[in-house]
Amino acid sequence: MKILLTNEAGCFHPGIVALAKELSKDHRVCVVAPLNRLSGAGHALTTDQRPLHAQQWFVLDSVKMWSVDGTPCDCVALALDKLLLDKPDLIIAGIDPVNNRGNMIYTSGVVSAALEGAIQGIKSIAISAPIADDKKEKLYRPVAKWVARKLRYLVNCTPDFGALNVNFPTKFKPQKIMPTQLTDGLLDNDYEIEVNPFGSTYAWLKSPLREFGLEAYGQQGDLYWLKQGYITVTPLKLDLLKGEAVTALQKAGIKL
Amino acid sequence: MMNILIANVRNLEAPETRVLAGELAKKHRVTVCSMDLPSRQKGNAFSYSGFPIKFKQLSSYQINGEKIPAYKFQGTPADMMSIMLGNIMRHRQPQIVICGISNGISLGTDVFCSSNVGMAMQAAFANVPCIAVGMPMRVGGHSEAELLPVAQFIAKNIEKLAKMQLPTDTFLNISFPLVKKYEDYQGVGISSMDNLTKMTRYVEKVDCKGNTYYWAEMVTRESAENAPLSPTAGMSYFQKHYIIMSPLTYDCTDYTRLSALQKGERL
Repeated sequence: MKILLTNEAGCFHPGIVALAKELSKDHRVCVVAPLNRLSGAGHALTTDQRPLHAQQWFVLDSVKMWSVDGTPCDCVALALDKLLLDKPDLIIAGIDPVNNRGNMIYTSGVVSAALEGAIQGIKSIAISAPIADDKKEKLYRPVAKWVARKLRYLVNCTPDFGALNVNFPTKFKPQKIMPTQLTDGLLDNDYEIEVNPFGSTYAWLKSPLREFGLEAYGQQGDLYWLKQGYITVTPLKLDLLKGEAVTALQKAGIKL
Repeated sequence: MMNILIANVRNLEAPETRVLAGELAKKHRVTVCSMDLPSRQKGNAFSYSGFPIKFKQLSSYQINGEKIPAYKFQGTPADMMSIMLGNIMRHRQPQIVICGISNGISLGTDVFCSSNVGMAMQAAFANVPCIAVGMPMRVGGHSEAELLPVAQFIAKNIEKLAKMQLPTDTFLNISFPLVKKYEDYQGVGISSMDNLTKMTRYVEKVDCKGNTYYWAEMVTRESAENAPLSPTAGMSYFQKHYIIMSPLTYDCTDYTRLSALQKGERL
């Protein structure tokens, strides 16, 4: 297969390097990723503010590698339109060192990159595994090996016009896989408001995000299964229209 | 009298903000927040790394001679909404949040990268009723006369919009056609607007030192090209000057595929 790899932690992040090394044994792999870490990039695209630059690197054998000075979604769009000679069969975003579950997927650059790939009509998978010391490549190796081994399964799980979100628990056992839905009500941003010596107010976004809702949402959703030590797979679709809401909307009686 | 938050991604002085806030402030208590610099296509991006988010309350912001609390933000639109609801308005939560009026409607998969829909989604995460409002894109923005019918429609229906009982994971995206006066609207429809969707394409250029660089442009394409979304009647009614309301959810789990996987479909 022709596989495009991207992430939000930067093109030299051990997560993507481990994955590239493992997948390039059997497949043709290209890496197009941001040059620097861009956490929380979401689905941001660089459009009218500035142009993008791409730079090719010759670091890994048998892997073509570019860095782009933009967001993960920029990387996918630019790779598909300009950098790659032919369309990839699969896009894999990751391995992200933070779990992307529940509402956090919209803030996550890797899930958004996978969704961008899906928008462009290519099957895409986002992979994240919480690794305590995210500077060591060897810690990512088991995850990368699992992905390479289970690639066919993961591709089959991916909806035709959608993406797949794969999360690894902190300590994972390869046989425990759970297809599940997104947990509702997870994202709670915590900002610290401060005043600087010049009198202007500013806010720091505290990271990591506060976690809540585990009890309220019972035994379903990706957060619950992650805590139980399962690898969660969640198929994502691109159509956000909520059919069930139409009746409520009609009852509201909004008219000219 | 309701407590309303208006959020805009352009700036506080833009006619989009002033017309909408002016119309709603006649009867309600309005708070306005806006980005310092225009921030298009930011989706739900947050400022995790690098810089703190500077913001400022403007003490002298007035519309039609009336003082209105106004805040100006750096960072991203999602940051702005999150700080407004989670910190600044924590103890006087708005009854409804209005994101817009955006210069450009969010069709189909545009909702993922739209700043306007991103803000609405943040409000939906906080369980505050919210609507994202958009008009067809025009370079340089719309005139006050074109924006007034939109503001009038929202002002007329604001109580119903705030009280409607949508599911908790749902918010409303309303697309307004471009009309000269309020009477030109033909009606209100409930539909998705997904028979058109935009793709990012790049224009390649070379600078004076011989380096290649790329400008993004948003290209509209028919979804039939690779059909991720089914075409609907929404767009044709929109072109006949109907206002189209699309209820959107933030739960993008593909339940059809999921139930197949859970049943242990042989893969």
